[in-house]
Amino acid sequence: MGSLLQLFARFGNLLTLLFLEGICLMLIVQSGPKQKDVWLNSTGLAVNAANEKISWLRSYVGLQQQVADLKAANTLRHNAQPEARYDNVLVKDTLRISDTLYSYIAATVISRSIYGANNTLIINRGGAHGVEKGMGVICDKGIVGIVADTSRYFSKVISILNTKSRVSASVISQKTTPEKNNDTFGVLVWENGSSEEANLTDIPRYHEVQVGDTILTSGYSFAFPKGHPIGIIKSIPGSDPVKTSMHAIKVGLSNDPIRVQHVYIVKMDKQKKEDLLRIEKDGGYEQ
Amino acid sequence: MNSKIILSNVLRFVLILLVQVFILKRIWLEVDGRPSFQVLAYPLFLMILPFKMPRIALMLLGFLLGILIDLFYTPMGLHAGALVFLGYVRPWILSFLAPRDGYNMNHSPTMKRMGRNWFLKYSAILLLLHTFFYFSLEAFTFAYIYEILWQTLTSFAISFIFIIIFMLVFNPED
Repeated sequence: MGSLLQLFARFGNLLTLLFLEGICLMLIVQSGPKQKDVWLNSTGLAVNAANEKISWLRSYVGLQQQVADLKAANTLRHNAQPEARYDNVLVKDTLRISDTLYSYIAATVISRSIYGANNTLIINRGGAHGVEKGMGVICDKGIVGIVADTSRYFSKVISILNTKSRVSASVISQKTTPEKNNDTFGVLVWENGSSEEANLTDIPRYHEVQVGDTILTSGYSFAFPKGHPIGIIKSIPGSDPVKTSMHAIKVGLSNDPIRVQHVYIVKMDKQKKEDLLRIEKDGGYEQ
Repeated sequence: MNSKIILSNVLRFVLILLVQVFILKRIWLEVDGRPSFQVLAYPLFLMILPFKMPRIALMLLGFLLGILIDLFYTPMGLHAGALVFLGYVRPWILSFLAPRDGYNMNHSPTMKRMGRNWFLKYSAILLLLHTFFYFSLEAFTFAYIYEILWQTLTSFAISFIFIIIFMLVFNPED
Protein backbone atom coordinates (compact mmCIF):
# COMPACT_ATOMS: atom_id res chain seq x y z
CA MET A 1 0.00 0.00 0.00
CA GLY A 2 2.77 2.35 1.00
CA SER A 3 4.63 1.73 -2.22
CA LEU A 4 1.41 2.26 -4.15
CA LEU A 5 1.03 5.70 -2.57
CA GLN A 6 4.64 6.42 -3.36
CA LEU A 7 4.04 5.44 -6.93
CA PHE A 8 1.07 7.77 -7.12
CA ALA A 9 3.00 10.62 -5.54
CA ARG A 10 5.63 10.22 -8.23
CA PHE A 11 3.54 9.51 -11.29
CA GLY A 12 0.12 10.69 -10.12
CA ASN A 13 -0.15 13.43 -12.71
CA LEU A 14 0.82 11.17 -15.56
CA LEU A 15 -1.53 8.44 -14.36
CA THR A 16 -4.39 10.91 -14.10
CA LEU A 17 -3.63 12.16 -17.60
CA LEU A 18 -3.62 8.65 -19.03
CA PHE A 19 -6.77 7.71 -17.14
CA LEU A 20 -8.77 10.75 -18.25
CA GLU A 21 -7.52 10.56 -21.84
CA GLY A 22 -8.47 6.88 -21.82
CA ILE A 23 -12.02 7.78 -20.89
CA CYS A 24 -12.13 10.42 -23.63
CA LEU A 25 -10.80 8.05 -26.28
CA MET A 26 -13.35 5.45 -25.27
CA LEU A 27 -16.10 8.05 -25.62
CA ILE A 28 -14.84 9.15 -29.02
CA VAL A 29 -14.58 5.65 -30.39
CA GLN A 30 -17.95 4.73 -29.02
CA SER A 31 -19.93 7.71 -30.21
CA GLY A 32 -17.92 8.38 -33.35
CA PRO A 33 -17.74 5.61 -35.91
CA LYS A 34 -20.32 3.31 -34.40
CA GLN A 35 -22.79 6.11 -33.87
CA LYS A 36 -24.03 4.49 -30.73
CA ASP A 37 -27.16 5.70 -29.08
CA VAL A 38 -25.06 7.53 -26.52
CA TRP A 39 -26.11 10.82 -28.00
CA LEU A 40 -29.82 10.20 -27.93
CA ASN A 41 -30.18 8.01 -24.90
CA SER A 42 -27.82 9.19 -22.23
CA THR A 43 -27.54 12.87 -22.96
CA GLY A 44 -30.53 13.12 -25.16
CA LEU A 45 -33.57 14.74 -23.74
CA ALA A 46 -32.09 17.48 -21.61
CA VAL A 47 -29.60 18.64 -24.22
CA ASN A 48 -32.10 18.34 -27.03
CA ALA A 49 -34.64 20.28 -25.07
CA ALA A 50 -32.08 23.00 -24.50
CA ASN A 51 -31.14 22.98 -28.16
CA GLU A 52 -34.75 23.21 -29.17
CA LYS A 53 -35.31 26.16 -26.86
CA ILE A 54 -32.33 27.93 -28.35
CA SER A 55 -33.34 27.24 -31.90
CA TRP A 56 -36.78 28.55 -31.01
CA LEU A 57 -35.29 31.68 -29.47
CA ARG A 58 -33.32 32.26 -32.60
CA SER A 59 -36.28 32.60 -34.88
CA TYR A 60 -38.94 35.23 -34.70
CA VAL A 61 -42.16 34.15 -33.10
CA GLY A 62 -44.32 35.40 -35.94
CA LEU A 63 -42.10 33.77 -38.49
CA GLN A 64 -42.40 30.51 -36.61
CA GLN A 65 -46.17 30.53 -36.99
CA GLN A 66 -45.89 31.32 -40.66
CA VAL A 67 -43.51 28.44 -41.18
CA ALA A 68 -45.81 26.07 -39.32
CA ASP A 69 -48.67 27.06 -41.62
CA LEU A 70 -46.52 26.63 -44.69
CA LYS A 71 -45.38 23.25 -43.48
CA ALA A 72 -48.91 22.08 -42.89
CA ALA A 73 -49.83 23.16 -46.40
CA ASN A 74 -46.76 21.47 -47.80
CA THR A 75 -47.51 18.23 -45.99
CA LEU A 76 -50.92 18.18 -47.60
CA ARG A 77 -49.37 18.86 -50.97
CA HIS A 78 -46.88 16.05 -50.50
CA ASN A 79 -49.66 13.71 -49.46
CA ALA A 80 -51.52 14.50 -52.65
CA GLN A 81 -48.56 13.83 -54.96
CA PRO A 82 -49.06 10.92 -57.33
CA GLU A 83 -45.96 9.15 -55.98
CA ALA A 84 -47.52 9.16 -52.54
CA ARG A 85 -50.52 7.18 -53.71
CA TYR A 86 -50.88 3.51 -54.25
CA ASP A 87 -52.70 3.18 -57.51
CA ASN A 88 -55.42 0.54 -57.55
CA VAL A 89 -56.39 0.28 -61.16
CA LEU A 90 -58.91 -2.46 -61.56
CA VAL A 91 -59.18 -3.40 -65.20
CA LYS A 92 -62.40 -5.30 -64.65
CA ASP A 93 -64.72 -2.45 -63.96
CA THR A 94 -62.38 0.46 -64.68
CA LEU A 95 -62.83 1.60 -61.13
CA ARG A 96 -59.79 3.60 -60.16
CA ILE A 97 -59.05 3.98 -56.49
CA SER A 98 -55.97 5.56 -55.10
CA ASP A 99 -54.95 4.86 -51.51
CA THR A 100 -52.38 6.54 -49.40
CA LEU A 101 -49.00 4.89 -49.91
CA TYR A 102 -46.78 7.49 -48.30
CA SER A 103 -47.65 10.16 -45.81
CA TYR A 104 -45.38 12.89 -44.54
CA ILE A 105 -44.57 14.22 -41.10
CA ALA A 106 -43.26 17.77 -40.96
CA ALA A 107 -40.27 18.32 -38.67
CA THR A 108 -37.61 20.88 -37.86
CA VAL A 109 -33.89 20.25 -37.55
CA ILE A 110 -32.78 21.29 -34.08
CA SER A 111 -29.16 20.19 -34.01
CA ARG A 112 -26.66 18.90 -36.50
CA SER A 113 -23.09 17.84 -36.89
CA ILE A 114 -21.78 19.16 -40.15
CA TYR A 115 -18.13 18.84 -39.62
CA GLY A 116 -16.96 15.32 -40.11
CA ALA A 117 -17.29 12.33 -42.34
CA ASN A 118 -20.28 10.93 -40.49
CA ASN A 119 -22.80 13.69 -40.26
CA THR A 120 -26.03 13.37 -38.35
CA LEU A 121 -29.02 15.57 -37.65
CA ILE A 122 -31.44 15.67 -34.75
CA ILE A 123 -35.06 16.49 -35.60
CA ASN A 124 -37.87 17.39 -33.27
CA ARG A 125 -40.21 14.52 -34.08
CA GLY A 126 -39.95 11.08 -32.54
CA GLY A 127 -41.79 7.89 -31.73
CA ALA A 128 -44.69 9.81 -30.23
CA HIS A 129 -45.36 11.33 -33.66
CA GLY A 130 -45.03 8.06 -35.53
CA VAL A 131 -41.43 8.31 -36.63
CA GLU A 132 -39.64 4.97 -36.91
CA LYS A 133 -36.14 3.78 -37.65
CA GLY A 134 -35.43 3.50 -41.37
CA MET A 135 -37.79 6.19 -42.59
CA GLY A 136 -36.51 8.60 -45.18
CA VAL A 137 -36.21 12.33 -44.58
CA ILE A 138 -36.67 14.75 -47.46
CA CYS A 139 -36.95 18.46 -47.97
CA ASP A 140 -38.69 20.28 -50.78
CA LYS A 141 -35.68 20.38 -53.05
CA GLY A 142 -34.02 17.06 -52.34
CA ILE A 143 -33.36 14.30 -49.85
CA VAL A 144 -31.82 14.80 -46.42
CA GLY A 145 -31.18 11.40 -44.86
CA ILE A 146 -32.57 8.35 -43.15
CA VAL A 147 -33.80 8.05 -39.56
CA ALA A 148 -31.26 6.03 -37.57
CA ASP A 149 -32.79 6.14 -34.15
CA THR A 150 -35.79 7.59 -32.40
CA SER A 151 -36.59 8.55 -28.85
CA ARG A 152 -39.99 9.65 -27.71
CA TYR A 153 -39.80 13.21 -28.98
CA PHE A 154 -36.64 13.36 -31.08
CA SER A 155 -34.98 11.36 -33.83
CA LYS A 156 -31.46 11.05 -35.08
CA VAL A 157 -31.07 11.16 -38.85
CA ILE A 158 -28.05 9.84 -40.75
CA SER A 159 -27.48 12.60 -43.27
CA ILE A 160 -26.82 11.75 -46.90
CA LEU A 161 -23.55 13.54 -46.14
CA ASN A 162 -22.45 10.47 -44.22
CA THR A 163 -20.01 7.89 -45.49
CA LYS A 164 -22.41 5.16 -44.37
CA SER A 165 -25.40 6.52 -46.23
CA ARG A 166 -26.64 4.50 -49.23
CA VAL A 167 -29.60 5.68 -51.28
CA SER A 168 -31.02 3.99 -54.33
CA ALA A 169 -31.21 6.54 -57.14
CA SER A 170 -32.34 6.43 -60.75
CA VAL A 171 -30.85 8.35 -63.66
CA ILE A 172 -33.36 9.95 -65.99
CA SER A 173 -31.44 10.15 -69.23
CA GLN A 174 -31.87 12.94 -71.73
CA LYS A 175 -31.45 10.36 -74.46
CA THR A 176 -34.50 8.36 -73.55
CA THR A 177 -36.92 8.08 -76.43
CA PRO A 178 -40.14 6.09 -76.73
CA GLU A 179 -38.19 3.44 -78.69
CA LYS A 180 -35.15 3.25 -76.48
CA ASN A 181 -35.31 3.53 -72.72
CA ASN A 182 -31.97 4.78 -71.52
CA ASP A 183 -32.92 5.28 -67.88
CA THR A 184 -31.03 3.31 -65.24
CA PHE A 185 -30.42 3.24 -61.54
CA GLY A 186 -27.50 3.08 -59.11
CA VAL A 187 -26.52 3.80 -55.55
CA LEU A 188 -25.87 7.28 -54.21
CA VAL A 189 -22.99 7.41 -51.72
CA TRP A 190 -20.98 10.22 -50.19
CA GLU A 191 -17.29 10.53 -49.48
CA ASN A 192 -15.94 12.90 -46.92
CA GLY A 193 -15.56 16.04 -48.97
CA SER A 194 -17.79 18.66 -50.45
CA SER A 195 -21.29 19.06 -49.06
CA GLU A 196 -22.58 19.89 -52.52
CA GLU A 197 -21.55 16.67 -54.21
CA ALA A 198 -22.24 12.98 -53.86
CA ASN A 199 -21.13 10.01 -55.92
CA LEU A 200 -23.36 7.75 -57.94
CA THR A 201 -21.99 4.22 -58.17
CA ASP A 202 -23.03 0.93 -59.72
CA ILE A 203 -23.94 2.37 -63.13
CA PRO A 204 -22.42 -0.01 -65.70
CA ARG A 205 -20.02 1.61 -68.15
CA TYR A 206 -21.88 0.37 -71.21
CA HIS A 207 -24.73 2.55 -70.11
CA GLU A 208 -24.60 6.02 -71.61
CA VAL A 209 -24.93 8.81 -69.09
CA GLN A 210 -24.16 12.44 -69.69
CA VAL A 211 -23.60 15.58 -67.70
CA GLY A 212 -26.93 17.22 -66.92
CA ASP A 213 -28.95 14.02 -66.53
CA THR A 214 -31.45 14.21 -63.69
CA ILE A 215 -31.09 11.99 -60.62
CA LEU A 216 -34.30 11.04 -58.84
CA THR A 217 -35.08 8.58 -56.07
CA SER A 218 -35.78 5.16 -57.55
CA GLY A 219 -38.56 4.08 -55.23
CA TYR A 220 -36.86 0.70 -54.74
CA SER A 221 -36.75 1.14 -50.98
CA PHE A 222 -39.30 1.93 -48.32
CA ALA A 223 -37.51 5.09 -47.36
CA PHE A 224 -38.25 7.39 -50.29
CA PRO A 225 -41.13 7.67 -52.74
CA LYS A 226 -40.31 7.28 -56.39
CA GLY A 227 -39.26 10.35 -58.34
CA HIS A 228 -38.22 12.77 -55.61
CA PRO A 229 -35.39 15.00 -56.89
CA ILE A 230 -31.83 14.33 -55.68
CA GLY A 231 -29.69 16.32 -58.09
CA ILE A 232 -28.14 16.35 -61.54
CA ILE A 233 -24.98 14.80 -62.91
CA LYS A 234 -22.21 17.33 -62.51
CA SER A 235 -19.27 15.49 -64.03
CA ILE A 236 -18.24 11.99 -65.06
CA PRO A 237 -14.54 11.73 -64.20
CA GLY A 238 -14.12 8.20 -65.64
CA SER A 239 -14.45 4.71 -64.32
CA ASP A 240 -14.80 3.64 -60.73
CA PRO A 241 -11.35 2.95 -59.21
CA VAL A 242 -12.64 -0.12 -57.35
CA LYS A 243 -15.25 -1.53 -59.67
CA THR A 244 -13.66 -0.71 -63.00
CA SER A 245 -16.65 -1.80 -65.05
CA MET A 246 -18.72 0.96 -63.49
CA HIS A 247 -18.88 4.71 -64.10
CA ALA A 248 -17.63 7.12 -61.47
CA ILE A 249 -20.25 9.86 -61.46
CA LYS A 250 -20.32 13.08 -59.47
CA VAL A 251 -23.80 14.31 -58.62
CA GLY A 252 -24.49 17.92 -57.72
CA LEU A 253 -27.10 17.79 -54.98
CA SER A 254 -30.16 19.90 -55.62
CA ASN A 255 -30.59 20.81 -51.96
CA ASP A 256 -28.23 21.98 -49.25
CA PRO A 257 -28.26 19.26 -46.58
CA ILE A 258 -26.07 21.36 -44.30
CA ARG A 259 -28.45 24.25 -43.99
CA VAL A 260 -31.82 22.60 -44.37
CA GLN A 261 -34.19 23.57 -41.55
CA HIS A 262 -37.62 22.25 -42.44
CA VAL A 263 -37.87 18.62 -43.42
CA TYR A 264 -40.49 15.96 -44.00
CA ILE A 265 -40.28 12.40 -42.76
CA VAL A 266 -41.57 9.87 -45.25
CA LYS A 267 -43.87 7.33 -43.68
CA MET A 268 -44.93 4.38 -45.80
CA ASP A 269 -48.35 2.99 -45.15
CA LYS A 270 -47.84 0.22 -42.61
CA GLN A 271 -50.06 -2.40 -44.16
CA LYS A 272 -48.64 -1.96 -47.66
CA LYS A 273 -45.11 -2.07 -46.27
CA GLU A 274 -45.83 -5.34 -44.50
CA ASP A 275 -47.39 -6.76 -47.65
CA LEU A 276 -44.37 -5.75 -49.67
CA LEU A 277 -41.96 -7.20 -47.13
CA ARG A 278 -43.84 -10.49 -47.06
CA ILE A 279 -43.88 -10.83 -50.79
CA GLU A 280 -40.19 -10.03 -51.02
CA LYS A 281 -39.34 -12.56 -48.35
CA ASP A 282 -41.52 -15.43 -49.51
CA GLY A 283 -41.27 -14.73 -53.20
CA GLY A 284 -45.03 -14.47 -53.35
CA TYR A 285 -45.65 -18.21 -53.33
CA GLU A 286 -47.35 -18.21 -50.00
CA GLN A 287 -50.82 -19.68 -50.10
CA MET B 1 -10.10 36.88 -1.02
CA ASN B 2 -9.92 33.19 -1.66
CA SER B 3 -13.67 32.72 -1.88
CA LYS B 4 -13.79 35.63 -4.31
CA ILE B 5 -11.41 33.82 -6.65
CA ILE B 6 -13.44 30.63 -6.41
CA LEU B 7 -16.69 32.45 -7.08
CA SER B 8 -15.34 34.34 -10.09
CA ASN B 9 -13.93 31.13 -11.54
CA VAL B 10 -17.23 29.31 -11.10
CA LEU B 11 -19.05 32.16 -12.85
CA ARG B 12 -16.46 32.14 -15.62
CA PHE B 13 -16.90 28.37 -16.01
CA VAL B 14 -20.65 28.74 -16.54
CA LEU B 15 -20.36 31.80 -18.78
CA ILE B 16 -17.70 30.27 -21.02
CA LEU B 17 -19.63 27.02 -21.27
CA LEU B 18 -22.83 28.82 -22.33
CA VAL B 19 -21.07 31.13 -24.78
CA GLN B 20 -19.23 28.23 -26.36
CA VAL B 21 -22.15 25.86 -26.90
CA PHE B 22 -24.83 28.39 -27.77
CA ILE B 23 -22.96 31.07 -29.69
CA LEU B 24 -19.47 30.10 -30.79
CA LYS B 25 -20.53 26.61 -31.87
CA ARG B 26 -22.70 28.21 -34.52
CA ILE B 27 -19.94 30.25 -36.12
CA TRP B 28 -18.24 28.66 -39.09
CA LEU B 29 -17.32 29.46 -42.64
CA GLU B 30 -17.56 27.25 -45.65
CA VAL B 31 -14.59 26.77 -47.94
CA ASP B 32 -15.00 24.30 -50.80
CA GLY B 33 -18.32 23.28 -49.37
CA ARG B 34 -16.84 22.23 -46.05
CA PRO B 35 -16.71 24.11 -42.79
CA SER B 36 -13.08 25.11 -42.46
CA PHE B 37 -12.69 26.04 -38.82
CA GLN B 38 -14.24 25.87 -35.40
CA VAL B 39 -14.18 28.55 -32.74
CA LEU B 40 -12.69 27.01 -29.60
CA ALA B 41 -12.52 29.81 -27.05
CA TYR B 42 -13.19 27.78 -23.91
CA PRO B 43 -9.50 26.92 -23.19
CA LEU B 44 -9.43 30.45 -21.74
CA PHE B 45 -11.00 29.03 -18.59
CA LEU B 46 -8.04 26.71 -17.95
CA MET B 47 -5.53 29.38 -18.98
CA ILE B 48 -6.48 31.87 -16.28
CA LEU B 49 -6.98 29.56 -13.33
CA PRO B 50 -4.73 30.63 -10.41
CA PHE B 51 -1.01 29.82 -10.50
CA LYS B 52 -1.17 27.58 -7.45
CA MET B 53 -3.72 25.24 -9.02
CA PRO B 54 -2.16 21.75 -8.95
CA ARG B 55 -1.85 19.83 -12.16
CA ILE B 56 -4.39 17.18 -11.14
CA ALA B 57 -7.00 19.84 -10.40
CA LEU B 58 -6.32 21.45 -13.79
CA MET B 59 -6.88 18.14 -15.57
CA LEU B 60 -10.03 17.29 -13.61
CA LEU B 61 -11.55 20.73 -14.19
CA GLY B 62 -10.62 20.49 -17.87
CA PHE B 63 -12.26 17.10 -18.08
CA LEU B 64 -15.44 18.43 -16.45
CA LEU B 65 -15.70 21.48 -18.72
CA GLY B 66 -14.82 19.38 -21.76
CA ILE B 67 -17.45 16.74 -21.07
CA LEU B 68 -20.12 19.40 -20.59
CA ILE B 69 -19.16 21.00 -23.91
CA ASP B 70 -19.01 17.59 -25.56
CA LEU B 71 -22.67 17.01 -24.75
CA PHE B 72 -23.44 19.54 -27.45
CA TYR B 73 -21.06 18.18 -30.06
CA THR B 74 -20.65 14.83 -31.74
CA PRO B 75 -18.66 12.68 -31.26
CA MET B 76 -18.28 12.80 -27.48
CA GLY B 77 -14.93 13.17 -25.76
CA LEU B 78 -12.99 15.39 -28.18
CA HIS B 79 -13.10 18.60 -26.19
CA ALA B 80 -12.58 16.79 -22.89
CA GLY B 81 -9.54 14.98 -24.27
CA ALA B 82 -7.98 18.18 -25.56
CA LEU B 83 -8.67 20.07 -22.31
CA VAL B 84 -7.16 17.32 -20.14
CA PHE B 85 -4.05 17.49 -22.29
CA LEU B 86 -4.02 21.28 -21.92
CA GLY B 87 -4.27 20.98 -18.13
CA TYR B 88 -1.33 18.60 -18.18
CA VAL B 89 0.96 20.87 -20.24
CA ARG B 90 0.01 24.21 -18.62
CA PRO B 91 2.56 24.01 -15.77
CA TRP B 92 5.34 23.38 -18.31
CA ILE B 93 4.36 26.40 -20.38
CA LEU B 94 4.16 28.50 -17.23
CA SER B 95 7.63 27.50 -16.11
CA PHE B 96 8.90 28.06 -19.66
CA LEU B 97 7.56 31.63 -19.63
CA ALA B 98 8.42 32.37 -15.98
CA PRO B 99 9.80 35.87 -15.34
CA ARG B 100 13.17 36.17 -13.62
CA ASP B 101 11.75 36.61 -10.13
CA GLY B 102 9.06 33.94 -10.50
CA TYR B 103 5.31 34.19 -10.15
CA ASN B 104 3.29 35.45 -7.22
CA MET B 105 1.52 32.24 -6.30
CA ASN B 106 -1.59 34.06 -5.07
CA HIS B 107 -2.26 35.57 -8.48
CA SER B 108 -3.65 34.22 -11.73
CA PRO B 109 -2.00 34.40 -15.17
CA THR B 110 -4.29 37.14 -16.49
CA MET B 111 -3.59 40.08 -18.75
CA LYS B 112 -3.99 42.53 -15.92
CA ARG B 113 -1.52 40.73 -13.64
CA MET B 114 1.11 39.70 -16.15
CA GLY B 115 0.92 42.35 -18.85
CA ARG B 116 -0.33 42.24 -22.40
CA ASN B 117 2.74 40.87 -24.13
CA TRP B 118 3.25 38.07 -21.68
CA PHE B 119 -0.40 37.06 -21.87
CA LEU B 120 -0.49 37.10 -25.68
CA LYS B 121 2.52 34.77 -25.80
CA TYR B 122 1.15 32.51 -23.08
CA SER B 123 -2.37 32.16 -24.48
CA ALA B 124 -1.13 31.74 -28.05
CA ILE B 125 1.10 28.80 -27.10
CA LEU B 126 -1.61 27.09 -25.09
CA LEU B 127 -4.31 27.67 -27.68
CA LEU B 128 -2.10 26.38 -30.48
CA LEU B 129 -1.37 23.22 -28.48
CA HIS B 130 -5.05 22.83 -27.73
CA THR B 131 -6.31 23.22 -31.30
CA PHE B 132 -3.59 20.96 -32.69
CA PHE B 133 -4.35 18.25 -30.16
CA TYR B 134 -8.07 18.67 -30.76
CA PHE B 135 -7.90 18.24 -34.54
CA SER B 136 -5.42 15.38 -34.28
CA LEU B 137 -7.80 13.63 -31.93
CA GLU B 138 -10.67 14.32 -34.28
CA ALA B 139 -8.88 12.90 -37.30
CA PHE B 140 -7.64 10.00 -35.13
CA THR B 141 -4.62 9.53 -37.39
CA PHE B 142 -1.82 11.67 -38.72
CA ALA B 143 -2.58 10.51 -42.25
CA TYR B 144 -4.50 13.75 -42.73
CA ILE B 145 -1.68 15.92 -41.41
CA TYR B 146 -2.23 18.72 -43.94
CA GLU B 147 -5.91 18.99 -43.11
CA ILE B 148 -5.09 18.89 -39.41
CA LEU B 149 -2.55 21.69 -39.77
CA TRP B 150 -4.85 23.79 -41.92
CA GLN B 151 -7.76 23.45 -39.51
CA THR B 152 -5.45 24.06 -36.57
CA LEU B 153 -4.17 27.31 -38.04
CA THR B 154 -7.54 28.72 -39.13
CA SER B 155 -9.29 27.71 -35.90
CA PHE B 156 -6.40 29.02 -33.86
CA ALA B 157 -6.54 32.43 -35.52
CA ILE B 158 -10.28 32.85 -35.05
CA SER B 159 -10.37 31.46 -31.51
CA PHE B 160 -7.45 33.64 -30.49
CA ILE B 161 -9.35 36.75 -31.55
CA PHE B 162 -12.29 35.69 -29.40
CA ILE B 163 -10.07 34.99 -26.40
CA ILE B 164 -8.41 38.39 -26.67
CA ILE B 165 -11.77 40.11 -27.04
CA PHE B 166 -12.97 38.31 -23.94
CA MET B 167 -9.91 39.37 -21.98
CA LEU B 168 -10.17 42.99 -23.14
CA VAL B 169 -13.85 43.23 -22.34
CA PHE B 170 -13.82 41.63 -18.90
CA ASN B 171 -10.16 42.16 -17.99
CA PRO B 172 -10.33 39.99 -14.87
CA GLU B 173 -7.68 40.38 -12.21
CA ASP B 174 -7.71 36.82 -10.85
